[in-house]
Amino acid sequence: MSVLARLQMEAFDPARELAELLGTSQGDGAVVSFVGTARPQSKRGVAIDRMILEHHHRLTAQSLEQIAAAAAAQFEVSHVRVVHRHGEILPGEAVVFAGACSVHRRAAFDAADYLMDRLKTDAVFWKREEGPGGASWIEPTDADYAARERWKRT
Amino acid sequence: MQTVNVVFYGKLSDTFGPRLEMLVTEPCTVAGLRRLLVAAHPDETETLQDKRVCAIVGNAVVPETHQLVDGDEVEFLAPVSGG
Repeated sequence: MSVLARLQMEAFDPARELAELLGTSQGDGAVVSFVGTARPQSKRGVAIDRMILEHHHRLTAQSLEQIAAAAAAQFEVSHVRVVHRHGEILPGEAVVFAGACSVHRRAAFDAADYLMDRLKTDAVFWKREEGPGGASWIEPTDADYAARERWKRT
Repeated sequence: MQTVNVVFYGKLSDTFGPRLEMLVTEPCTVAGLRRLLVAAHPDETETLQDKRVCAIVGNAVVPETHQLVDGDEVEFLAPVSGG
């Protein structure tokens, strides 16, 4: 079992993260990964120049570690890997990588799904989109909170 | 009177600035501190009284009844969102 949660400002290569996860999987049978990238437009269709992910000097890394550990504890997975950026992120760049390995696919799918639902609502970041029209803070939607809640029933 | 350092994150820092030093009468709870801040910024009542805005003292989320002591640092976190 390995649990990795990494917070970084620098851009990362999702393909490399997946390759490393595959390397650690040791033929487990199932490797599932999700990559979230920054959009060039807001939900209202306004152009975005950059996204700023503000973070907390100690709580952000701690929240990533807690979420990754919770996924490892809740599902029959052998490896969990979370990489999350902070700071300035340009459209098209990867924001987050969430992956898991398991012997059978369902646990890895569920763990990756769970990781993202928790990251969306519980990871300590403050997200701001900046564009020609100014800046606006992005908060989780009701759908995001509902997505997180469904894991409490299982 | 006691001094409390207040730190704001996310959209709260747009209104209150990143950091405030406040002189408050004893005893003062987190709820009392919120009321003082709201009194100074009535337009932001909803923003600061949002149940998702948690208060941190030390390394832990504290309840509204938490009693503050002189020199405490209280961090108010606006609703968080990663991914």
